[in-house]
Amino acid sequence: MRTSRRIVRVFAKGNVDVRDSLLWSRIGGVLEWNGINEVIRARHPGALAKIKHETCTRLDLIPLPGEVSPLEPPEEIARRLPSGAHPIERQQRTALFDEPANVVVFSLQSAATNALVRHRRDGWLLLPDDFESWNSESRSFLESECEYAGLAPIEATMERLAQLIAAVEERLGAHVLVYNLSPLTPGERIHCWLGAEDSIALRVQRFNLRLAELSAQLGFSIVDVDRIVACAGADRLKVDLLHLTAEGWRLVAEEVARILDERGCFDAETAG
Amino acid sequence: MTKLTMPELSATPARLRRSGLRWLRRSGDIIEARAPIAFCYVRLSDPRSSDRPLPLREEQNDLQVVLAPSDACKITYSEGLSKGGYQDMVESGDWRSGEYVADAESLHGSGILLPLVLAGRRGFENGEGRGTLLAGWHEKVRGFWEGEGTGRFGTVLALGTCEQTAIFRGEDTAFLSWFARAPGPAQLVAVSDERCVHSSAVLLQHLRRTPDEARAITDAVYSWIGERIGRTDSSCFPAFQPGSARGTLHGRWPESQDILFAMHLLAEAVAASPILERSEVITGGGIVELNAPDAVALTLGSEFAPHFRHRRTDWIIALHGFRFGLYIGANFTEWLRRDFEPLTRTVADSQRDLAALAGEVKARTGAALLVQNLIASTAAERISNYSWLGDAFDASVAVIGNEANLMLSDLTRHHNIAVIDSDALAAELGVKHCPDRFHAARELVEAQRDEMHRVLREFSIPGF
Repeated sequence: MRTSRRIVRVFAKGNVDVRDSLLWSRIGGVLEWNGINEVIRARHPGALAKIKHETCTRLDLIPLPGEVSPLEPPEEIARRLPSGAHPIERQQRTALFDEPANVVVFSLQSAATNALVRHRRDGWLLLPDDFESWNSESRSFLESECEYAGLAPIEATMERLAQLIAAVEERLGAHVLVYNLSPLTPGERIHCWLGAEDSIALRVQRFNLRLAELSAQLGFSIVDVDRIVACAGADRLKVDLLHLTAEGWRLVAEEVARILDERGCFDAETAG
Repeated sequence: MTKLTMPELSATPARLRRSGLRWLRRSGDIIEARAPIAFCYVRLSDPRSSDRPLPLREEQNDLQVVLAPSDACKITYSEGLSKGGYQDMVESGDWRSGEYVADAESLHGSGILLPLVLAGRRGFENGEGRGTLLAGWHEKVRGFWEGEGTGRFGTVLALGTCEQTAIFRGEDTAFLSWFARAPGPAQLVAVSDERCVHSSAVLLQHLRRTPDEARAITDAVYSWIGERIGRTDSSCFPAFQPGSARGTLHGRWPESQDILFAMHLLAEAVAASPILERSEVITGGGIVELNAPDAVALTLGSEFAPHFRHRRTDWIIALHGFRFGLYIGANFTEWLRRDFEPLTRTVADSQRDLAALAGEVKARTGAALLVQNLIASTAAERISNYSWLGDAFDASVAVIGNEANLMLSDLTRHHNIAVIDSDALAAELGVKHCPDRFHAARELVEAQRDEMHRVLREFSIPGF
């Protein structure tokens, strides 16, 4: 009897938080953190996480199996406009359900922070990623044809997340982990919201609370980035609202590994 | 070399008398600006024995003046200036402005020392506790200073729990951190939560209390005390039982603690609300009467302390859970069980009461509420799957803390309320600075104090 190499297939649907913690974190071309397998190797020699990463334009735009979003921009627009890290033709699509996975990772980050634009006439939506680098022609097009569509509504996002989790469990039988977000922006201090809209920090707190409620209902695991940052201190772990230091990403990866352990993902499979 | 001298302080027409000086620093020490070097006890006396009430009469037994140079310097003094012993604790001479105290090297500003006056109102007037700054148990303490500022005094009242004691009174328990940073004229008032926790429900009811309601509460307490006395028999005095004849560990009469605690609760409930209390301050120009506080600092943690409502009178009290057993005896607890009902408070209840309190305070005195939020994260509570909590989900600290903090932020949109975001400060520095979510280490307390000061300045509270 021998113990086989345990491979945990992880589909990670998210942006900088899931990528930098699970895969790698590079700053100025220098590798600062080499991903979750650093943790897994130490804890479970012979085990390995195979990570498939896909960026996430917005949690509420991820289609369910067989669903085609009616709000996708036409192909011609996708070809014409710059894309950044979020290719326009893929913004409302996913390979999530195309291959088997043991674990699916989502994150609240896109829902909390990504604002979309809507085509005035046709109603399609897109994320103008890295807009500052767009050429003047593309900018003019966007400004004349589109309007601000805002951030994701919390309830609609949570409804979509619940549907996605149900679909993942049914189609893939995979464990679901969802990253919450640390609301802190270093140096930001607000004591009164009179006449003000929610700050990102306040919005993140609302999302985090709703995520805990959804976890209580559905039983998925939360990667509590908020708590990880609070325990060690944002002064030490945070660079800005979305980016952590290498130590921060390592701590997040350790928490993911701990949850995978808790879920029995590294339990040895035996073969004759 | 500059001579450091006693500042002008006057209580005219009353006389201001003082004890000898007790040094807080050694001769030869380098002193920072506004860092205390000495203090003395003071007392007012009216030579004319007029019918006019003596100012600060409820604080006469614990009035102290702390002295500090206005700028950094090196001090040297003669040991003979302090007589030591009880001479430095009881008043023995008149306050003399301009009296020589010490010499200062490298002092750039004036040699006149800045006074910080400390006043403690004892919970039990006979409870002597002299010796250090604001020593002993006080139901209310104040620190006020004219400083070098001009204009009217601004007053901030702290009604929160222990985490706010740390922010306002500080490690020295005498407001020295604020004296060092707020130019003045300014006053800080702190009312402790040893008797009743100052939740919005408790404070609101206190503000709206009528004389008839005060009478009914008094009757209820007297009635229970009468009942206790009625039940007293010879077995209630362990100090005099045969087994104690040659020595005993039963030092205290056990019954006294329950009755005293009930009396203290009553005394607070039927006295003036601290939110409405005016105050008198001693200044260089004489006694000045100040209006009710300009800002009231509360803690969100008070909202979720155990609350009880007296069944017959509707009197609401809030007590820290940790006080049962160690502080509050079995007889009092039995009275709570019999005559009170537990009041389970939700975040929505707190929202309703805080909003009503803000409205009531604004209408009565115009003061703003500064509410310190909850530190929601703990190193101890790691929950990755909330479904495992089952029915305990709604009561989990992480959930209630975050819900309450969001509620508080939302209240600031419509009410005269500001948030002191302790949660964010703790998360910035790391919650290891506050492992139990309430008792913070120095670095976090300092950050909270900075934030409180920033908000007071944003609210243009005079003197801060």
